[in-house]
Amino acid sequence: MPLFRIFSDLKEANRLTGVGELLRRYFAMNGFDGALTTLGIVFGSYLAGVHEPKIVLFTAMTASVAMAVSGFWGTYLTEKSERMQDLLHLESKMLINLDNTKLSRAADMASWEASFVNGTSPFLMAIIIATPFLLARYAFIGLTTAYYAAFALAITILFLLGAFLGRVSNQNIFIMGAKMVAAGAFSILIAFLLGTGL
Amino acid sequence: MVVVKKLELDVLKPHKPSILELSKALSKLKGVDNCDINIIEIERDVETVIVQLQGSDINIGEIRKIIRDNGATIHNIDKVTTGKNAK
Repeated sequence: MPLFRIFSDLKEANRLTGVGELLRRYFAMNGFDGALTTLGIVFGSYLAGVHEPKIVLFTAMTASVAMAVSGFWGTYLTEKSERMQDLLHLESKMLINLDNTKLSRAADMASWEASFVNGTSPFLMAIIIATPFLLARYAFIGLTTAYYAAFALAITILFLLGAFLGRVSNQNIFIMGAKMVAAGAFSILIAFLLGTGL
Repeated sequence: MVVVKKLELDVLKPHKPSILELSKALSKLKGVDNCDINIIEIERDVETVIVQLQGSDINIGEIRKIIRDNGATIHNIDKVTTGKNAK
């Protein structure tokens, strides 16, 4: 069964390369990037007095696509070259060619996994935060509600990402969540100061 | 028909896949009843192991393939026991 095969290949790649830990890191790191960037876009639009939900929505969507492509492409190329280097090092110790072995397949799979997580996590966060503007565009909710809903979603996502990291590292999830939210508040404050200064 | 019943191989392998994984993969082969792997030397990136196989009809080609697929290489065949197949 192909799905089962993919699943077992993923498990094997994780076992052989230890990519699971890296995926967790990438997910939190890039999800944070995506959430904060979109929060910045939404807050910037709010300060600039953008009254058209379409503009906020399209700006957030194109930024999320750009983040996804950059995350996917950059990670694949970086991970692939790093893992190739590791394989070449091992080949020099083993004095054999490791092409078409479990190790080379796992290295390839790990690169794909890392790039997939790196590309999708900021994209997903951005899309979630931008959703209220989609609703506002089709008049399900008002524009002001959409702004407040987007801020609330962004803060919730930041908190959840922090809580996720807290859970992984066995630390207090509320403190870790609050630390992430503080980053969001900090970026809003700077944006606000810049906005009022201009 | 003469078949291979016991085989002892000197194998150089990376630390991963583990000897447990390699042993299970070898034991799955047709004609192999037991697989015993001992680590005799550990280096920073690789380890030397002795693989002892026992079975009713060990296919060395298949063994080579599995060892190769696990990123390892046979340095030497240290011991072999052959005998007539009961069939």
